[in-house]
Amino acid sequence: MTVSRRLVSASRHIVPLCVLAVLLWPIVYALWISFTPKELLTPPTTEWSWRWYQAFFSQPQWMDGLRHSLIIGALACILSVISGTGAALAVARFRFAGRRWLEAAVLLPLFVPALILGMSLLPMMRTIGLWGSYLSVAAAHSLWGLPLVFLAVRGAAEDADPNLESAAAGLGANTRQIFYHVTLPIIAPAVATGAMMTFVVSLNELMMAIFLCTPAIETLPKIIWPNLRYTLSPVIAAASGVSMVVTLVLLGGAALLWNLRRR
Amino acid sequence: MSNLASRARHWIWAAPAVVLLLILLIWPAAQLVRLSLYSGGGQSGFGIGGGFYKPGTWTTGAYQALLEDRYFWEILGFTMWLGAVVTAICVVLAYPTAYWITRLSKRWKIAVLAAVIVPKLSNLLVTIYGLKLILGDHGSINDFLQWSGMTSAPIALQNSTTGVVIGKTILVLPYTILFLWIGLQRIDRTLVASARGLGASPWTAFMRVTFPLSLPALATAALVSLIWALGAFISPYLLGGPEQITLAVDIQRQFFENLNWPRGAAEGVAMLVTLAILVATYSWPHRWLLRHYGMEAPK
Repeated sequence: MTVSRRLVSASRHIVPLCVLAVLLWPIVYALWISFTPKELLTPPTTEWSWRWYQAFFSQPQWMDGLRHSLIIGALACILSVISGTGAALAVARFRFAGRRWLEAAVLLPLFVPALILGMSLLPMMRTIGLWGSYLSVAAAHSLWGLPLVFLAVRGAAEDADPNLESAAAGLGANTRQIFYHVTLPIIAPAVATGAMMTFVVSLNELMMAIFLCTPAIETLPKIIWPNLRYTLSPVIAAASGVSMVVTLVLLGGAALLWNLRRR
Repeated sequence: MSNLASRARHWIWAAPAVVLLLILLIWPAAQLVRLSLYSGGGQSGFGIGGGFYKPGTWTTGAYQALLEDRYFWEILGFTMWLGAVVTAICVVLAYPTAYWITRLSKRWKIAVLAAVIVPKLSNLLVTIYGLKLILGDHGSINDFLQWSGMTSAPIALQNSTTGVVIGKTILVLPYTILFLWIGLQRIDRTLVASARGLGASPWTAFMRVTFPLSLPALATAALVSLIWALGAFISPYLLGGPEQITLAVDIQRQFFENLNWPRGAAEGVAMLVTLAILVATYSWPHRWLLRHYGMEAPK
């Protein structure tokens, strides 16, 4: 190959690499800033420091936010796992009228803007008196968790050999025994994957939190949000770093479990 | 187990999901439409009484006010314009990127796809925080422009339309790349190989085979991007100024600042109707493309 041809073939990589750089640079830059030893928003080069992370973990405002986020994420997981697993098993194992409708209805919330979901849930939560409770925000997030768990579990349940359940029934197992000893072990990794994705989504969701969070239950993104408009203290970068770490750990876990299922 | 119970077993499994959707999706949607038909201005306090509307009233006043309000049309116009511009930029940048990803080895493909998706699954505010630092008057871009002598004073990248477009593009682009990649990797590679074998240049093979076959995926990716761009809230709110108000920003303001819930609800219904029209009109050219290129339409 001549030099000019090599240049042409190398140029194919330029646009995609620039796109990747543009997508990742803001996050990398924010995390870089979080290690600054100074008050100024300059990225540290020679001197790095944990001081803004210490500030994050010592300020009650941030710790409360973290706690609220974790509680709401856990509640959202419970709601999504119960509803999503049930719907996935119904669709994967039975053929019935309305099956396609059920599938479409479960996936629908993913395509409704969070703004619309949050806006419509606010008056509704006030009507039923849940407004201002952890459950209200968790329920809102479970609207996105339900389809995620559903997609993961349906895939696992459809891949599983249906004869296993028939065999268990033939050996005298009752419905409950079949579920606990055959079905559940098969779909468990997929349920865990879906739950982790739900937790990640709930942890980072802002729009529904804006509509539903009262000051007593503000999540991490809801606390960061007004700060971004006025001050850009590096402690926000540290808060971002913390949620980034939790997110990456959960996503890594979900990816591992997903691979496990494939084998 | 009684006969009826065993025949309805699937609905017992599906019951939690059905109940959840009825309570959290259908009922609130119905209530939102009802809310938009109240008369505004009931000022009962937060948490007490009926909320920020006059209970018991039925009126289309909120919609009439929307139709007559020039300010609303300006907001709608800006939202549409932003959606169109961001979608166009995203498609132009995403196509070469998605195509490039399909040619990568498996290991690199997974790494690059993860790099595209992870920012989207993380806290979006991290991206916006980084962007505010980069785009600011003393941010890296302005520093570079002044250092290189291209400008003498900082240019307004924040609190401007430029900032909103850059921010929204970065937030939407991962979806465009993902949806295009899904479509592109489904295209049969042997078709391109056949075209090359019959003497087509790489460029001709791309233009006559790959590109036409990718058009349905391109349409889907553009639609998804447009839907997300039309819901723009975070980037206009945090990277724009008072001139860059989108529908989503205004809805939030009607709810929490103007305390006019019927107006906010009416704008929400307007947004839903716009999205529904988009999805409905899109399915027609999409089906035509699929049929035209002999691909099966999704059932």
